[in-house]
Amino acid sequence: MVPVRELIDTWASLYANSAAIRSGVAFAHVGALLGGGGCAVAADLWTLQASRQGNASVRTELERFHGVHRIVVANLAIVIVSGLLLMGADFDAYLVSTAFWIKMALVVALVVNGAVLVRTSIRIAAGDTRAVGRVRAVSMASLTLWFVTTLMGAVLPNVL
Amino acid sequence: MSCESSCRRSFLRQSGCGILTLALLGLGESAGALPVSTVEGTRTDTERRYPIPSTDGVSIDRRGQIILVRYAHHVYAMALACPHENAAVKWIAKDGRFQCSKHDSRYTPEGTYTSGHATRNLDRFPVRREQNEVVVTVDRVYRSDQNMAAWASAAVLL
Repeated sequence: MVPVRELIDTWASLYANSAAIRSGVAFAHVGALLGGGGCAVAADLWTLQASRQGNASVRTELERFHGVHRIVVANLAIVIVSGLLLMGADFDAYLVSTAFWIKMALVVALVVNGAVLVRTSIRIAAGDTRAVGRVRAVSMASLTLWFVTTLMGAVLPNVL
Repeated sequence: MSCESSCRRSFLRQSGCGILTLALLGLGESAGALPVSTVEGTRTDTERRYPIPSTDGVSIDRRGQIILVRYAHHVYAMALACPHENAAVKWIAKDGRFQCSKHDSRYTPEGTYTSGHATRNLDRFPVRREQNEVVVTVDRVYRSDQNMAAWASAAVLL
């Protein structure tokens, strides 16, 4: 079995020696952030707008949200995989970076918030009108988390 | 014709697997590959003290932004920041070199610039040996483009 450290060093060397690999991984990370984050932000804004127009609008909006959710989850998976590859390229530096762990905590918060949004939308679809208030808070949190996580992503390479 | 094509395909498949296996097992690694570790020196106002590394290797003090390298019977203390845009350099163990994490400038283990956007070697701190410690003076730095002689002599001979 190939030791993990050996794999990480091999990946770091491949990454350091190939502009094509660096470009591909960076594009996967930023492109998926653009695709997933863009869809999520648009869905959050629609949901917030709908929440001002009453329960029926929220229900209609959340039905549309199901299609968007799949795109967001798929893109988030690409963001996570490419993020792991970026981490492997400079493993020792990321492992001890406070900014990196703050960013990871934000990613976890984003995933948990997404799960809460899905659960809330299921409750609304089942006719729970009290959940409509919660969907507003969750959408606000989602908007904030996407932008703060992106901010940490921009800060991270400059404070390693 | 079909045999020729299948032989070629088989050759390519086998060589591809061979190259991948060699890469994964690290058999292509350079002989000069040094292990990397993190270290934290004892701090005073203008100095940092580190135990002399027992073997050749790269020690990185991220808080102090200092790289300590023991290589070829010498110990060097260099700035972690690439002289081009002050991004952190990283150690590529497989290739035995430093590389800037931002624009990929490359340096030898001694900090000598080899390629990339930078225009000088990694900056070195003055160092001296005191018993079993390397003492790094951190309020001064030698730039190879301004004082090559001081830069070159900023090392502890073991």
